[in-house]
Amino acid sequence: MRVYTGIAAICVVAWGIIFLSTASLHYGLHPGDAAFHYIEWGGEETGSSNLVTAIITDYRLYDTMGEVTVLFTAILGVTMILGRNHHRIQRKIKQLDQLYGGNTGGDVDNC
Amino acid sequence: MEGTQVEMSIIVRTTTRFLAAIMLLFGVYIIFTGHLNPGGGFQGGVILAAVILLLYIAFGTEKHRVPENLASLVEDVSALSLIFTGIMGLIIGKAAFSNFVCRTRYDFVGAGTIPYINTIIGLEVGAAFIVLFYTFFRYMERRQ
Repeated sequence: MRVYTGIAAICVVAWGIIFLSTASLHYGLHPGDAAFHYIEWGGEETGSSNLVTAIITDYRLYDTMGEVTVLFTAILGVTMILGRNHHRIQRKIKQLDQLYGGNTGGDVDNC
Repeated sequence: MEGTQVEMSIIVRTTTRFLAAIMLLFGVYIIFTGHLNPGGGFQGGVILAAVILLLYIAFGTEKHRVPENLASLVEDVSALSLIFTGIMGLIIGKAAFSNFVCRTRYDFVGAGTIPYINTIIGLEVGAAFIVLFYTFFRYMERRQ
């Protein structure tokens, strides 16, 4: 328990050092340039009346693609574990268990 | 796999029959006018999936059922076409994920790629939630 407390304290102190040393760095553009640019030119550049939509589907489409990827991966995991072929996947996990001689949780689901 | 045969009462079924079309129209409206009104792909997609969930709950999973393979295919194709749109922005436009279609001001079709991207995201989210509901329902049926 004392070891974990020490590790947590070290992590917090390291985070503080890294955060403070990063905060003193100079960012490339003038701070707030991007926000002012979005508010001033967002409608003109994208043709969208809705500034939020203009940002999340035009300026920050890469971020939206990440969100869609998160959703896709979540659905992939659910259909793999609970879906139609879950017996096949559990058989595969049991095969891997026998192959590598461990227990990787092949008999978690007993339905 | 025979599906849950339980239907809810006639009040719920009649209300669902009345509401499903309106909710479907509302979801499509939220998606298509995401660049003009509050809304967008995620919200409209969730509303589209809620229509299917309502039909499942009211009529049982056997009737009105969307084929799971079709929903899964729609999800995959939408996710791929979102990435494809980003690559098209790299090829045609200025940078990756940039808005490369000609834009007019504050029009229904004038926001460049934004309506298409909203449609893609709406289809992706709706299909993903349909697959999720369907998987959970079938898991519950199997557990009984």
